[in-house]
Amino acid sequence: MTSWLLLTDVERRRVSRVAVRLARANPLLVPAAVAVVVGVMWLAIKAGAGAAILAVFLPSGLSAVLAMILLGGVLVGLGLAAAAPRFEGLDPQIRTVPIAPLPAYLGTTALPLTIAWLIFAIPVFDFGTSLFRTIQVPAPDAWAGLLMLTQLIACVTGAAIMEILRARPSRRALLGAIPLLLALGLPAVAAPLTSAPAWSWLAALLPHGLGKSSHAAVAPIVVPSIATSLLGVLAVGALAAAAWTATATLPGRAPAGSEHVRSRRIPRRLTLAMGTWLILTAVRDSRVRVVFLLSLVSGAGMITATALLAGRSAAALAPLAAILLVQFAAGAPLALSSDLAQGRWLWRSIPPTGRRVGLSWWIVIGTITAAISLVVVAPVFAVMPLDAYPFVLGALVMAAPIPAAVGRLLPFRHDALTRQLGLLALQLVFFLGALGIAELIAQRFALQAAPLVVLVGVLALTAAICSRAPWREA
Amino acid sequence: MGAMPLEDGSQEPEAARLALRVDHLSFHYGTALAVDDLSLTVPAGTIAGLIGPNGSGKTTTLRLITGILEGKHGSIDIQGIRLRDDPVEAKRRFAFAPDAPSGFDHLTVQEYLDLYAALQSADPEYGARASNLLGVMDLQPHANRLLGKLSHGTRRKVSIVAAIALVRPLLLLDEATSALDPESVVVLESLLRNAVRYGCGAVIATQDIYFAERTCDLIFMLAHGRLKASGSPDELRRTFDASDLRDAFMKATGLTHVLEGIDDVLAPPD
Repeated sequence: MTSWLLLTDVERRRVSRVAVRLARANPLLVPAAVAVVVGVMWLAIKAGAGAAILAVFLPSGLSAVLAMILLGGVLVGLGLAAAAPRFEGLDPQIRTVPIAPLPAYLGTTALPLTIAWLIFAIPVFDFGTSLFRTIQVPAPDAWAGLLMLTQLIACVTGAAIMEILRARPSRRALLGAIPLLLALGLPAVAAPLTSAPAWSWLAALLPHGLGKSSHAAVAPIVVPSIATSLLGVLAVGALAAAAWTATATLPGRAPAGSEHVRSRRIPRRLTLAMGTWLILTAVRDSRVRVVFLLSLVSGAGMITATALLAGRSAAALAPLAAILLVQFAAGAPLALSSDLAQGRWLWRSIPPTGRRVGLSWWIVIGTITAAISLVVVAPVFAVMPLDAYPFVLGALVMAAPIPAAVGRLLPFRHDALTRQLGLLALQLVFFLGALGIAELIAQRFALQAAPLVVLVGVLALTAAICSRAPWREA
Repeated sequence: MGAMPLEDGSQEPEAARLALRVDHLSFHYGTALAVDDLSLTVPAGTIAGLIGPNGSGKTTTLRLITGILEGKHGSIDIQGIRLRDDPVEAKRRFAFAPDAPSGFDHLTVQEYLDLYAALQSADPEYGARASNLLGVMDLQPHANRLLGKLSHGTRRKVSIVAAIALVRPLLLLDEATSALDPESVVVLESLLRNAVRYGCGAVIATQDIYFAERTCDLIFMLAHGRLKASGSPDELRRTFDASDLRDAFMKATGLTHVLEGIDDVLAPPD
């Protein structure tokens, strides 16, 4: 077996071991996982049918759907590449083996990430099939496959941008990458100048003709040659993959930074001491800083796209963009659970009880998440209708304590991609589950205060998890 | 060792004169038995050493004593306070330095000491003592460096300084001399002697038999989670008719067979 396949096999074995251990520890997790998979597929199909209404009846509707999928892909790519273990994450002895940068990168990063993305892209395929069947496009399955491939390429593009940031983490490189990110929104910026709908160039790759006839209530369906579209997508994909590989395997500069820093005062009270420690970690850990900066930049891109999308779709998409951003921003506080777990020897051996330590963690991470989310989402409020404010603010408060609970249940690991993916999925399921329950209670019992009840429930549940969860290794 | 008279002339209770008492402690990792019915006592003012091969249960024992692991069988009393019954009070009576201090990579040495003092509710003099110890251990130049940037040995020294500066009745050091330079080992030996002079008890797990022989008043030899022998270095040498502690250790733990035939291990096959 070649060296890069061996390295991939290491990751596969780690996944298997974790899965088997979890299943043995709690057999209920197996049917729960199956239920989650089936539920996600079902949701994707329902969302596809819903998106078809947007695509057909709103000007630039299909463009908006496509733009959100691509932007989501870029964000997932950025996030996963930021969290990818890469060769440096391996045991120091393994790292001394003579292996070239390319196979090391293929084995530890490219192949595991691509497999992970393909798994994540299956719901996109379901979504696409449902969407294209509803709007009666010929060969909907082929077009759904193309949509999945396009989303995968968006992920790879996001990963390439992240590699640029990671390889040369200087302020100058970071500033240089911002125009690259903003370039994603250029078609939207150019749209009003040409009277063309936003993202029409992207929509043109797909069969629906909305991109070329933005003023029609029900647009004619123009189906270009799938072979031509596929070739175009493959060409873009090859370019993105080449850029990703080149940026990841070229030798980068060693991280800059002084060995000495100014020591800050640590307060004496447990919660304040823990809060100061975590804030200093968040500020000093480049990985957390990058996630935060990317949230801000992505927010700016989302706002540009949302603001320029026509009329009613902008209002509808703004809260969705805000919620996506909150989820993305919550990755930074979630990553701090790795530090908590690594220091478990201290937290377990100090006089304050585990319950006190857990509650302090809940307060600190909840506050940090809420603060970051507010900063990241703030620009979206500018383009959001006023009646959506309570919903977004409520969702923000509901999302704030979730990283604390998820991180206490299963600490983040910077060197274990599968765990990172699992944690992000768990966080999303937790959040969507809470929103779903609020909706269900509101509909079934016609209870106006349903969101408030669920919010209190989420706060109580996450506090209980943080104070009682068993300590696990990072 | 006689009972210590208190200021009012009465005798200190037996339990309080013991820095540590462990009774019939057992612990499993899954199905693997790590500590098997272990009992030991460490009087106040005594340096006790846990020695044994890898996997003999030294680190697990210290993790059980500190509450990092929770055992279901047996009991642990620290200065007469039962860990299971009153963990908060029991944990106020010891300081611990682990074998591989992890986490807190993005704090400076000074910040880490402040955080440690806050979490341990240390007395107001902690800062001054820690500062003195930083000087003694040659760590002052590192005070404003991030822990994550330090070498393993330097980081261990920081961890040892943090624990010793607490001046608690019981000091627990895991792999006491691991990764330390010879100079620091000498300093550590003196610091331990100093600490017990003030009435501290100390339990150190170590692989360095020569350090244990020089430093410890009491030795507990472990193998496969069980206590194989205990006593002062002199007593152990006499018991096993050994020239030194290493020889006594080999006999006590039945490891003498390991050396038989070792000369042929790397020989080319016939």
